[in-house]
Amino acid sequence: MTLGNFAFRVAKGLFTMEGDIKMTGAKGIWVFIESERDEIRKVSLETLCEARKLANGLNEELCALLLGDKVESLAELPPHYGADRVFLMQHESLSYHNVDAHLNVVANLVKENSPRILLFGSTPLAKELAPRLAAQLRVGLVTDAADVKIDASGKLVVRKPVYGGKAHATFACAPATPQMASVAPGFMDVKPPDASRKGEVVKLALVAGGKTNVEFIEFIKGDPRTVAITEAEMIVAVGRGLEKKENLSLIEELADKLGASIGGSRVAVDNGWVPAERQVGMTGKTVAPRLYIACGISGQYPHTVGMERSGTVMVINTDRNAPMFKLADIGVLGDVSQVVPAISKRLSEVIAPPKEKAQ
Amino acid sequence: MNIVVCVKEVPNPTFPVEVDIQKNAVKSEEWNYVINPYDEVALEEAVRIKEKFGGQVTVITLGAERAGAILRKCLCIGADRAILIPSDSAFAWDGFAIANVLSKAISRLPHDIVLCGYQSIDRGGAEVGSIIAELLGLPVVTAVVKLDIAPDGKSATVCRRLERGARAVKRSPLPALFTADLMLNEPRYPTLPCIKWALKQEIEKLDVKSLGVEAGPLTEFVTISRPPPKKVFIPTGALSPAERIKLLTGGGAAKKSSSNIVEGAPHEVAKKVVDFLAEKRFLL
Repeated sequence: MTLGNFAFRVAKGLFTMEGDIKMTGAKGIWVFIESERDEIRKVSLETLCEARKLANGLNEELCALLLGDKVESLAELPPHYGADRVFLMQHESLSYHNVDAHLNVVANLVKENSPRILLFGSTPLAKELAPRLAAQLRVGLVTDAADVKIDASGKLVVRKPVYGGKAHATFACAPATPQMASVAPGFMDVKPPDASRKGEVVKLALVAGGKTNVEFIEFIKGDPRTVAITEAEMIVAVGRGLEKKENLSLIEELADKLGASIGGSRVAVDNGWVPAERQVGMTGKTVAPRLYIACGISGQYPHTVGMERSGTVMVINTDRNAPMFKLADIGVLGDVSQVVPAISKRLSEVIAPPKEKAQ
Repeated sequence: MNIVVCVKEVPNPTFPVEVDIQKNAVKSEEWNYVINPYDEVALEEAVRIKEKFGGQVTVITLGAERAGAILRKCLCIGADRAILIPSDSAFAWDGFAIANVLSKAISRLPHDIVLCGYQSIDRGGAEVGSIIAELLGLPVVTAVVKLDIAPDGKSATVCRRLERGARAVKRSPLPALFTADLMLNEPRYPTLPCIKWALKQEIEKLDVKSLGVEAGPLTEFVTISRPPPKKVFIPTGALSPAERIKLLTGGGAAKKSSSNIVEGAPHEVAKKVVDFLAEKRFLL
């Protein structure tokens, strides 16, 4: 792969500070930020918050690397989570699936600025990008980290699950910089954003396009009906409050309208309403969807332990004292068989054309 | 179509993993070893391509002498040639060092396609395939769930597994490297004639020194430990016993305020709920 296809210049734009982006020696921590649906991905924020701690320990600058097709509107956000500086590069060739373009850009940026540490969130893009970048730069990389630290000699020390999570191993990167790691989702906490925090946004322009070996043809959306429950983006889960199997069609209607997958508590599985591989909880799967709708689930510990990392939780239950309500961002006091069809009806009014059929 | 498949022996996943803290290692005396399931899928795909387009399938592994056993199994499944690069220390190497040796070996073999498993089930780096491709200058797509070779054999259309059941369809010129996801295919059981044939085959050995490898590992192993305990909710002593029991029986789920509770006629409730979902951007 030839480097130097790209030339960079610091564009003077609204955000731009007079910038000498050159730093002497290997200094600073960089975090590769990814976005999805005009939001920064959670794993990127987790990485950023963890990197802030490392940066505090080293007393060095924390930079966010924001590349993509339409990402300019997000440039203000990384400082809220601790970044001191944001390198922003917006170009249509930097679409999510173009790993080659990302690789050229990041490799060049790293060579020009020589950061000490470069962190990724472990995503499909990073899983291809990080190893290739590390190989090109001949630097150490540890993937899917559960914990990152810096030891007394300045080495990046990374702990990660091995043997399918039955043990955790710790690895240290060689001194060659940037020392790289990718952070597995769900191991680190996101601190609440501080909207008053401002950072410098350095806008970089992509002058020439690089060679792309692999051509992207199309994106096929996942089918929520068949996707594994652990990967589902939204889950409608049913429990004892469903009462009978016939009511499941109501749940299916709601799930289809939302594009959500169906899960269930142990009771739902035992009653044959939901297949066993879709059980959420201690004896089932642990899930962390963006939206979790608990329909008629009381929320005993064996169930909540499997879903407490979910983003937004909605609870539909007749019992005001059900423990599930304690996890709710919105709770509905009512019977599943009445509330769920009403929500489905309302949804079809709001979403005028039916949701695009997933392939 | 000449295909090189990189395989690895991994401990049988049904065996327990116990950490010996004194020795800073896992107790491996009772383990036996199998082909990494992802690599087995990659091999099966290679054999299917060979059956369609002709050519030769070469399996290659870097590991202890006993790894010859899994190479023998690869021959049973349909590989034509098996190469072992013996090394007693390879298990301690990182992804770069392993990929570096393998890429040197692969560069000596004819290859139109290089297939690897997406990741190993022991260390789970999911990096060796991409690094080999980078070192050999090959295009790469990882986590492939569908692999179609164009009839002219000059390009391949692949489906890459993304999150949440989504797929990306990509096209790559050949030669290229792909890493196989478990969903790519169902590996076959070897037939008796294949097994009998495989038993007579020679497993070639390649000396690491002869490959002229200059670079070593870029990360070093420090410690291994049992996984940290899951965060369990423990009520603090500051609470009254009654409150503590309440929290415990309630799953300790007192994390969010439960003030946002709506009730009333179903259609009114539905309106509020849908407004809430729209505000949180779930209706896109």
